Amino acid sequence: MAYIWENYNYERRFEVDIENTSSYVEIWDDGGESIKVNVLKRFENIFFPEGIIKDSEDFKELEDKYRNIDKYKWISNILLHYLAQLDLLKGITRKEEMIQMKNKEVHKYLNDELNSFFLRLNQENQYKILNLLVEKEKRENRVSLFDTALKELFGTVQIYDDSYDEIIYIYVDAEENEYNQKMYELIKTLFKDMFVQDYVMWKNQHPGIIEIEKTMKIGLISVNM
Amino acid sequence: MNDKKVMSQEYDIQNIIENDNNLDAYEKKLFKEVLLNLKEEQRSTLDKLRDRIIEENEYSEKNIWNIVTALVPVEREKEAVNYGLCPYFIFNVDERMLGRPVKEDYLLYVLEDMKTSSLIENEEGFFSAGVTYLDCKYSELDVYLDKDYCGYAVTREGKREEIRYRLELTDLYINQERVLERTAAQNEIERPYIYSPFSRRAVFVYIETAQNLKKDFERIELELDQNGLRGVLMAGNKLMWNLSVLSNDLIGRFKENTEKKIIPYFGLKYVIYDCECDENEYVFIDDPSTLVKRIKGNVYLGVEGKLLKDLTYYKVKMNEVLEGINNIVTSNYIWKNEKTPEKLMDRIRTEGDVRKVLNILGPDLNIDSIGYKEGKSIKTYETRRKYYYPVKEKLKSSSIVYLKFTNGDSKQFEDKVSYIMDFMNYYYPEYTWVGIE
Repeated sequence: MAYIWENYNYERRFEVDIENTSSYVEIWDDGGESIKVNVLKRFENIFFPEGIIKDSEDFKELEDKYRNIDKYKWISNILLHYLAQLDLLKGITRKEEMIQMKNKEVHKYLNDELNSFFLRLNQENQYKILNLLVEKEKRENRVSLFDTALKELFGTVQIYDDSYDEIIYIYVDAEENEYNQKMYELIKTLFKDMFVQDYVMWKNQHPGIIEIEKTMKIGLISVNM
Repeated sequence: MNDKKVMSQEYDIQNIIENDNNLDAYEKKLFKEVLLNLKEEQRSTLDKLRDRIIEENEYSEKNIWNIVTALVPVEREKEAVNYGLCPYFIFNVDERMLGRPVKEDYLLYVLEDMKTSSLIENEEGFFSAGVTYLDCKYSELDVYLDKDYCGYAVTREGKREEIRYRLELTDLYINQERVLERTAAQNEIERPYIYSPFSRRAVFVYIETAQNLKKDFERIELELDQNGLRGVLMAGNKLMWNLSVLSNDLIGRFKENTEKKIIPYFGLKYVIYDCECDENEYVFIDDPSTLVKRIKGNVYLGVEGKLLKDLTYYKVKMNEVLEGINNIVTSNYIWKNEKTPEKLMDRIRTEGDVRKVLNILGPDLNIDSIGYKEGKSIKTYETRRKYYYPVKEKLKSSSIVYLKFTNGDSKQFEDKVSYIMDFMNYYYPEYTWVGIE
C-alpha cells in the first residue's frame, strides 16, 4: 500500500505523521489504531499552508499540534478521509467524463433516425448504452459486447450461433414493436460485428425446441411429444 | 455549479469558521487556509482529470498536418501568397531519390490566349504550353484525353493558322505529395491529411504540327468553345498549397564549426547535427538512411558513420492560411482539411465504428448503407494516384466492406470517395474497402 485511497476503510483513523513514515510512500499502516500519513507527499499546501508557515519553527509547531492536540487530530482525520474519497471519486469521475464524451460523440455519427431514437430513450437506457461504449473502448474493441448490450437493454435474450450458416439467431423476449425494433437496430449498429449475420425472433416467435415445453407451441396449439 | 454558488459556499464556510467559539484566532486562520487549499486541490484534481481524458482521446495538434490546397487564378497568386498559400515545390523525382527542389518558375501555366514566346519546345519537337487542370468528374477524364483539339496560331498581322494540341495527364503534383508524405514520416507526423482533387486532374498541353511556331507567330488561341472545353479546361489557374520549401543552400548546409556529437543508435554510430527550425518548419532530407529527430523543439539529423561538411537538407514550412482566402478563391476550389484531432480506433468491428471513423474524416458525404453489395462500384483513383502511397498489400482473405454513398452528383464525388477509401484501406487494411453508389 502506498496511498490513502488504497484499501480504504472509512472506519479507520488517519493521523498526520511525517517523522515515522517513509518519504517514498504516503501511508504507514502497522495494523495499529491509526494509519499514519505522510502529508508532505501530496498535501503539504493543504496541511501546512503558506499563509501560516513562515519558518521551520511554525512548521514544527503545527506538526506537533496535528500529532498531539485532539482538535487538530480530529480535523486532520476528517481532511484525510475527504482526500481519500476524492481520490476514489477520481476513478468514478473519470468514467462519468468518458460517458459524457461518448454522449457528445455518438450524436455525430449515428444516422438521423437512430440519433433521434437515442435522444428519446430514457436516461437509464442512454446511460447503459454509453457505459457499454466506454467499456468497448476500454477493451480496445477486442471483445464483442453485442450480447451483453442485448441482455442489458432487453433483459431475457437467447442467442443461438449457427456456425454452419454463419448466422446468429437471437430470441428477444420482448414484444415486436417499433420501439423494440429501433432499440435492436441501435444496439446492432453500435455493437454487432459487421460480418456477423443476425436473425432476430421476438416474443412468441421462438422456434420449437424438443423437451422445452414453453417453446413447443404453434400459435395457440401446444405440441406435446 | 456556477461561480456565484461556489463563492457563496466558500463564504459560508469561512463564516462558520469565523463564528465558531471553540476556535482561537490562530485556528481560525489555519482552518480557513486549509479549506481554501482543499478546494483548490479538488478543482485542480478534476481539471487535470478532464484534461487527461481529452488528451488520451485526441492527437496532439502538432502531429497532424492539415494541408490546404486551392486552385487560384494566376493573376491573384501574389494575393494568395499573402494569405498563406504557396506554389507547389517542384522536386525532380526519380525512382531512387527525390533529388533537389528546383525553382518552380520553369513551370508554365496555360492561359487561354498565350504568347508563343513563352512556349517551351521539348526534345520531341512539341511545344509545351504548360500545365492546367480539367474541371470534370474523375471518371470523365478520359473523354478529354488522347485526342486532338484544334486551335490557332496567330501572327502579329492577325493571320491565323490551324494548330493541333493534346492534353496529357501529369503526376507532377502527386509526386510533390509523396515528398510531403516522406517529410511527414521523417518528422514523425502521423497524419498529413491531403485532399487535392486537382493534383489528379493536372494536364500538360502539348502543341503539335506547327513548325517555326515561335518564330512566325505571336500567340496561340486554344478555342475552348469550339473544342467543348469551356468550363472544363481551367486555363489561367494555378494549384497552390500552404507549404513552402526553403531550399537556399545557406539554410541547408552545415558550417564547419557546427557542433557534432557521435552517438550509438541501434548498434550504429551516428554523427548528430543540430538544425535550427521554427515550430512550423520541418526538415526533409532525401537520404533515407539519415535520422531526423525532433526533441523539445530542436531538430537533429543523424548521419551514419562519417562526418559530412555539406549535408544538404530542406526545410518544409507549413503556413497558416488566413480566413480572407475565400475572397480570392471560390469555395469550390479550396479544400481545407480541417480534421478533428480525435484519435482513430485501432480496430473496427461494428457499423458504428465505421460511421465514427468516417465522421472524423469529415461529414461531407452521406453514407446510405455499410456492408451491403447493392449498387455499382464508384470509379476511384488508379494505384499511383492514390493517397497514402505505397498502398498496403491486402490478404486475399480480407473481407470486403461496401460503403454506399448517396450524393453522387458533384464533380468531386469520386475524389471524395477515393480519399475516404484510400484512408480506410491504409488505416484498416484488415478489410478491403469499396465505395458503391
